[in-house]
Amino acid sequence: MKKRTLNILFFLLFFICLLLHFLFSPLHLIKDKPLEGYYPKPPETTFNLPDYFSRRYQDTTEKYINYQFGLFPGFTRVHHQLEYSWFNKINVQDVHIGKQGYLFRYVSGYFDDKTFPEGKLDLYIKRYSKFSDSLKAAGKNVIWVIAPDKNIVYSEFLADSVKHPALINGFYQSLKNAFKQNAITYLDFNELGIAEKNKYPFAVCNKGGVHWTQAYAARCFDSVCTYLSGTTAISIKNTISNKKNNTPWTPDVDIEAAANLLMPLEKNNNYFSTVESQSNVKNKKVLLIGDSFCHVWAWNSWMQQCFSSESEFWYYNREVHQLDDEYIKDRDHAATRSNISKFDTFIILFSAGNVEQLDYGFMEDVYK
Amino acid sequence: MVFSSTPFLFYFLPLFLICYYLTPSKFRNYTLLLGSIAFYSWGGPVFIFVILLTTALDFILVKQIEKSDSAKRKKLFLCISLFVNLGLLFTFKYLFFFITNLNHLLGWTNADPIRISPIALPIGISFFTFESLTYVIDVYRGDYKSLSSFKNYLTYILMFPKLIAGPIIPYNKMGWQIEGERIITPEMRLAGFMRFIFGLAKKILIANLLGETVTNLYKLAPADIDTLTAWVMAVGYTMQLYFDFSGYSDMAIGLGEMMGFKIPENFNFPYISKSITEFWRRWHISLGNWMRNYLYIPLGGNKGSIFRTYFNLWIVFLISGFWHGAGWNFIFWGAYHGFFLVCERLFLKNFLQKNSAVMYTFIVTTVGWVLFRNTSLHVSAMMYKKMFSFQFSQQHAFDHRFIAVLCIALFFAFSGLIKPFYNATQNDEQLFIQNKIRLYSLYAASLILFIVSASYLSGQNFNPFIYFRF
Repeated sequence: MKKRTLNILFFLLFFICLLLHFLFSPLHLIKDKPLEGYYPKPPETTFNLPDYFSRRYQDTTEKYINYQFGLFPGFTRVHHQLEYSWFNKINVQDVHIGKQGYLFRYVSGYFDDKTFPEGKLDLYIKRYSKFSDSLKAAGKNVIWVIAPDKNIVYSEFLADSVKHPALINGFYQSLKNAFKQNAITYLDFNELGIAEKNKYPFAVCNKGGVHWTQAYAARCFDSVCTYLSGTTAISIKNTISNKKNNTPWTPDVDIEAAANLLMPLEKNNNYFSTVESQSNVKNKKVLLIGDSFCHVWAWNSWMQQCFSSESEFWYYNREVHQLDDEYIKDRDHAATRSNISKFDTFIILFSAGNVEQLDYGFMEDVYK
Repeated sequence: MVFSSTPFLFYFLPLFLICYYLTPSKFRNYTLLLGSIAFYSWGGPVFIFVILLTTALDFILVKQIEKSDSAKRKKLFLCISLFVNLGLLFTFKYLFFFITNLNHLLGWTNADPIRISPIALPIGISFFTFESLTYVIDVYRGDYKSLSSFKNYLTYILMFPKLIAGPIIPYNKMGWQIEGERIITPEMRLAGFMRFIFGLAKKILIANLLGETVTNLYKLAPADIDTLTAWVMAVGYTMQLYFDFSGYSDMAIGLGEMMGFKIPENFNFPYISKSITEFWRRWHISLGNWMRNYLYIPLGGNKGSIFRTYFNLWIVFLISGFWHGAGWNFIFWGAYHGFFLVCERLFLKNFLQKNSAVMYTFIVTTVGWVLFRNTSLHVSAMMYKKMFSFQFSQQHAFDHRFIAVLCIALFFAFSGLIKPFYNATQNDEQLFIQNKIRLYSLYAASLILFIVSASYLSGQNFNPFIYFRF
C-alpha cells in the first residue's frame, strides 16, 4: 500500500475514534455494558441565556457530557484496569486492596478510634431486653444476628497499612461485650466464620465481594433455623446442597463489579447452594430487619419456604420489602408498634460494619 | 473548555474539523473564525464582547497608523492602542492586586481602604493582548503591512488553538498564513493529529497525574514534610508544569497543523539547558521572543552600558514574572531569574561549561518554581526551609505510581529521547519519507497513547460507591 494511502487511512482511523462514541450514544447502534457501582449522575440541562452567560449552563453540560458520552464506560474500564494492573490501585470509594487479591471495604467501625456515645449502648440494651422479654411473654421470638464481615474473618489478608487497634475496641466489640454482660442472646457469624473458614470448599466471603457468599449465607441461615428450633416451639429442618458454579452469584463479587475492570479478578472456589426446608411455622410471619446482607436470605426464597409469605424485610428500617425484595413502601416510623404486632419472629441482622448504627432506629421507633 | 476535556476532544474537535475540511479553502477562515468564537464564548460568554470590541478598535487604529503620513499621528494611534490593550490587561489582571496592596499601605496610615472585589479574568487575555501588540507595533514600525480585512485580523487574534495558552504568535509569523491560501496535505493532517495526541498524553498522563499527588502533598502539615518530600514536591511540580505547558503547546501546534498553519515551537527541552540564559531560549520560547523583540530591544537591549544592559535584563524578567500572574510570588520569581541571568553574565558563565551546568540549571529552576507554585510567600519560605534543612524521615506520603510517572517525566525531560518523535511530527516531509518501521511505530504509539489518554481523561475521576448508601 502506498504511504500516502496509508496516511489517509490512519488519519481516518483517528477521526473515526473521535466520532465512534456517537454510535453508542446518542445513536445507540452499539450497546456497551453500563458501569457498575453507585455514582450520582449529573442531570441534563436545558439552555437558557442567563445560565449561559453565568457559565452555569456550560459547567453542567460539560459534567453531563463527561458521564454520558458513548465511550465513557469503555474508556473508564481501560483506565481502571491500567491503574489496577500497573499501580495496584482500585477505583471504588472506601475500598482498599489487601493481600493475595483480597479487596476490602473500609469500615470506620474498625479503623477509626470511635465508639458509641456515652449512654447510647446502655439505653439500647435496656430497651432491647424489655422488648425481648415482652415478646417472649407473648410467645414470640427475637434474635440478634451479626453477619460475618470480611475485615474480621479474613483480617490476615488486610494490608499492613490499614490494620488498626480499633478493631479490638470499636463498635463491634463494644456491642458484643454489652450483650455478654447483659446475657442477651445473639448469633455472631464472625466467630463462626473464623472457625469455619477453612472447613468448607466455599469461602465465607469472596475475594472481590463485601458480603458473605451465597453458599456461606445458606449455612448461616441453617444455623439460625437450628437455633430457633432448639430454643423455641419452631421446628425447621433444612437440607442444603452445594454445587460448584464457575459464575459467582452477582452480590458475591460486588466490589469487583464496582471496580469496573476489563479483566476478571481471581476468585475463591465458587459454590451455589440450594436449601430445601420442612417447617412448622409456614403460617407465622417473620420480620427481618437489616442491611444488604439480608438480601441473600430474602432473594433465594429460603425464608419463604420456612415462614409465611406475608413476612417482611425492613431494609435499613427505612423501606418495607416483601421477602422476594419487592418494594412495598417507605417505613411509617410513627406506626411501628401497630405494624410489628402481626409478626411472630423478629430477626435483626446486621453486618459488623453497620453496627455503629445499631438497628437503624428500630428500637427507638418501638419506644416512641 | 480546555483541549484535554471530553467535550473538546470528542465533540468540538471532530465536528469543527468536519466543517473545516468540507469548507472550500478560500472560505476556511470563516469556519475557523466561527469555530473560534464558539470556542471562546463557551468559556467566556461575556468576555467575547470585550475581545471583539478591542480587536475592532485595534484594527481601526492600525489602519489609521498605516494611512497616516504624519509620524506624530502614527505615534498617537499607537499610544491609544497601547493604552487600551495594556489598560484592559491591567484592569482585569492587576487592578485588584494593586488596590489590595495599596490598601495595606493605607492601613498603616489609618486611611479608609479602597473597596474592590476580585475581577474575573477574560480567558487568555495575557496571550491575545501580547499578540495584538505585535500587530500594532509591527505595522507601526513599518515592518509589515496590516491585514486586509477585519475578518482576517479577528481570525488571527481569536484562532482557538493558541488563544488560551499560547504560543504567543507574533503577527509577522501568522499574518501571511491567514491571508494566503493554505494547502493541507494528508501528511500534515496526520502529523498534526499525532502531535496533538503527544501533547494530550503529556498533559493527561504525566502532568495531571503528577499534579494530583503534588497537590495532595501540599496539603500535608509542615511537620509531615521532610527534606526528601520537599524536594520530591518541588521536582514533581517542575515536571508537572513542564509537561502541562509544553503538552498544551504541542496540542496547539498539532491543531494548527491539522488546519494548515505552522505554529512556532514553544519548548525545546529546557531542562537540558546549561545555563539560565539558555533555559529561557528553550522555555516558553514565544514569550522570550516577545520580551526580546518588544521590550528588551526597545529598552535599549545590550547597546548601552553594561550596567544598563543588566538593568534591562532584570527589568525584562521582572515584567516577565509579573506577566505570569498578579502576585508577589511571580514578581519575586521573575526577579530571581533575572538575578541568575545577570550573575551568569557577570561571572557564573565561566563555571558553566561542564556537564554539571545542566544540574545547576535544573536546581536553580526547580527552586524557582517553588516561588511560582505558591501564591503565599509564607508557604514558599516553609518549603525552602524543609528543602535545605536536611532532615529525613522514614515514611513518605507519595505512592509508587507517582514515583513511576515522575521517573518517566524526568527521563523524557532530560534524555531528549522523544526528540526524534517531535522532529518527525514537526516535519511532515521527513516523517513520511522515513522507513516504514519507524512510521508504523509512530502510528502504533499514537494510537495507544490516544486510547490510554482518553481512558485517563474519562476514568480518572470515576470512583463509584459499591452501592447507594442510605
